[in-house]
Amino acid sequence: MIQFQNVTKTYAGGKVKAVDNLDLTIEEGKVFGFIGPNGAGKTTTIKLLTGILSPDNGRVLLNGIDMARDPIAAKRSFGYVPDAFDMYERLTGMDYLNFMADIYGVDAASRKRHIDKYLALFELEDAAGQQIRGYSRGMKQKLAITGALIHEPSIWVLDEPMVGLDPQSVFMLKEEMRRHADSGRTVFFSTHVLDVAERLCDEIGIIKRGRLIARGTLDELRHGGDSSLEEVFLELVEKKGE
Amino acid sequence: MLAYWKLLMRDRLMALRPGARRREGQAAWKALLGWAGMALLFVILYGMAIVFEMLMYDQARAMGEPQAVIALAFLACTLMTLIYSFFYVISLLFFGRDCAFVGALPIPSRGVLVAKLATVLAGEIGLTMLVCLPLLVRYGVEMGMGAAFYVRSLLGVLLVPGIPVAITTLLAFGLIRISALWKRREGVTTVMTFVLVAAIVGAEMSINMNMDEGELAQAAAGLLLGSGSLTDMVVGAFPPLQWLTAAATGSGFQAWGQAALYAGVSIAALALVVALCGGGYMRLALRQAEIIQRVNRGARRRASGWRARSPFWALYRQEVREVLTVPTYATNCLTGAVMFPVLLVVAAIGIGREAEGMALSQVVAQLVPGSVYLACAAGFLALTCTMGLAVATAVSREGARHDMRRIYPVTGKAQLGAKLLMGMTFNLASALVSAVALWVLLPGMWLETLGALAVSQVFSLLWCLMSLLLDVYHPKLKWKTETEAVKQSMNAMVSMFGGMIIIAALVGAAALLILWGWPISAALGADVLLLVLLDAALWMVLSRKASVTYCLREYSK
Repeated sequence: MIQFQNVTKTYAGGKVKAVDNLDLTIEEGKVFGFIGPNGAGKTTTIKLLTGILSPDNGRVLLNGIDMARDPIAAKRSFGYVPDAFDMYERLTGMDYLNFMADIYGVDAASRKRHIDKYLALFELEDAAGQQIRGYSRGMKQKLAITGALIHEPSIWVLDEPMVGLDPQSVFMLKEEMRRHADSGRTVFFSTHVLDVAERLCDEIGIIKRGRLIARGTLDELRHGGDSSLEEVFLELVEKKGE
Repeated sequence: MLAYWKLLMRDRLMALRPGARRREGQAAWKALLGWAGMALLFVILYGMAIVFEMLMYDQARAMGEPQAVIALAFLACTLMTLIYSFFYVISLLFFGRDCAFVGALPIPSRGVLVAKLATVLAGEIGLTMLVCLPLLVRYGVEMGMGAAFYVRSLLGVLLVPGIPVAITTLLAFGLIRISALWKRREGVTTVMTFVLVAAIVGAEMSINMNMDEGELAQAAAGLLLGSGSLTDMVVGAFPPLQWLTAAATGSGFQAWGQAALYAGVSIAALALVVALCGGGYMRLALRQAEIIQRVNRGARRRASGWRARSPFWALYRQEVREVLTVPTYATNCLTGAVMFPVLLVVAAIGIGREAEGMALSQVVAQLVPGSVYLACAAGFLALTCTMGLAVATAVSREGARHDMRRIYPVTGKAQLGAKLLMGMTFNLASALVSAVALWVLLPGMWLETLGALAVSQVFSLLWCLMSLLLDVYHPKLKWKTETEAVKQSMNAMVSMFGGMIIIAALVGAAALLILWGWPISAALGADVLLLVLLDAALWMVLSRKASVTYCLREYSK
């Protein structure tokens, strides 16, 4: 379970509110999509969730563990896929996966099982022994996803995960996200692709200028109408938070 | 923590593999050849250093104090680590690409700091071993030292980088805390680099000028008369080195005591740094990464309505901004503007001290005719122009953006013209700073200095044209880091040395004319005329054929 309790993050000495009093709880077994215009605060929210940034006010709890009080335990509970994977380029994909397994203390048998499974799923078996610098953007993204799932986290956090992936990989990723949530765990991801959010998410949050302007299931956001998420999103973003 | 350290070390070691620097599409044999060349260069340089060390050892042994060279090697390694590890420490701790990623991993902040410092130490220990071990082995063999000597020496070598790395880490933390107030980390890096370059060059020049023959003779006499010790002189400035030298070259319990003292202080220094800075390290590193966001958000409000008068000036502004705002480019392209004035000022202070009361300009005026001074100053200012690598890498620095440049509705001539003007601007700035230093030092020769500045700019145009043409015809567009684009550029090297060869050729031509009975000013005039003709010829090439080549070049090919 993910809990944001009145979380605020400001920049420029408090003049710019990147996240403004965010109060949000996401239960287990849900795929939660976080959408909003550019610069709305999606990535900042994810950075607060993953402990990369510390909030000015409020608390972030992961499975009841306060990120500020016990960051190590909180960080063990999630797997994170950043928006751009651009590091350790001289290492091979397998070096990176072994590193992630070491960091999360994954035993040899589970490590092998997970690595084999995801490398096969994303068709990275042949590339795993090559240096990361030779990977395409999509391959790097798949490697980051594999690394994030290696310890079977109860919470899976993804920042713009579809960017750079081919249609086949997008489909597989969506299937994996769905499977993750269906097994009683939580998926939190940000996206600009409203079609994906519409089809995949159990719940959707819309953020604008750091404020959560709407949240709920697609039906709740539609208020019983039959408009698409795109129409709902445009209406909300244009009207609220002005 | 251990897993993270292993990852960092592996990443570093992989960079040494023959194929590590292989560019996309480059043949394997070419990459291997390049690696072999670099390895050979390293072996040659290392061999020279060892020969130098051994010669010094022979001298010291003849004076009865071979241990002085060991002390000197320890001192040199300490200083090298202190100066050069600073950049590595600050970039690894605070400017690493993985800062945010590691922030999301379940590794304690102190553990991340320890892993990163251990990576720095591993590299520095390797270098210290290369420098010190040959000397220690020779000393041990010649003096018939036992196993205890080798154990203490190895312990000492392993710990030599400890104190300097602790100091540089503290400096890096201090600097980043200050930069958090400045909100401009690129600016801090650039300014600090310049300050350090100036400090190193200034200190080296100052030491060279102060170590006159009289002082050396006095020190040698003191040694011969037994009134002083060369070893004490070397290590006197830094007590831990005294303990280390005594530990390595001494014997018995006293040597072990000194070794324990040195080891204790070195480990304590590192432990203190980790204890003081470790807890808040990740918070500070991540806050540093946030600064860019804050600056960007601030910039949104400040966005001015600056408009260029034409596409040419827009391109020119873009070229200049790029060099000034990217630290790697700024530090490599503007070195001449910093190094040469410092050299001038330190040299002038040295000369002024020797002149004892007589004004420097009077000394120069008495010794050097105006035309000779003008020629020398012009040569010197021209040399400063060959140090700026902005124009020599102007096309290569475009990298993957080159294809974007090709779709601009601007002629190739205008695009290359903007690059040329950018190079000329930086060269003028470099020469101007040096010229101002000359003006201050030699106020009586201001007219000649002005003339020298003008002549140097005629040369600057030629050098910029030559460098830009080289980069147009042989650009290195496929790079991943800015360092690759500017520092590992063969074009930059060729341009730099080519410029020096041209200066030497011009000096040779002028000397020949003077030998044939031409007045100095006429010989200088002939050089300038030749430069102008070459400028015109190369401009014709650049604005016609080279512009077409530039526009037709594809990034992907």
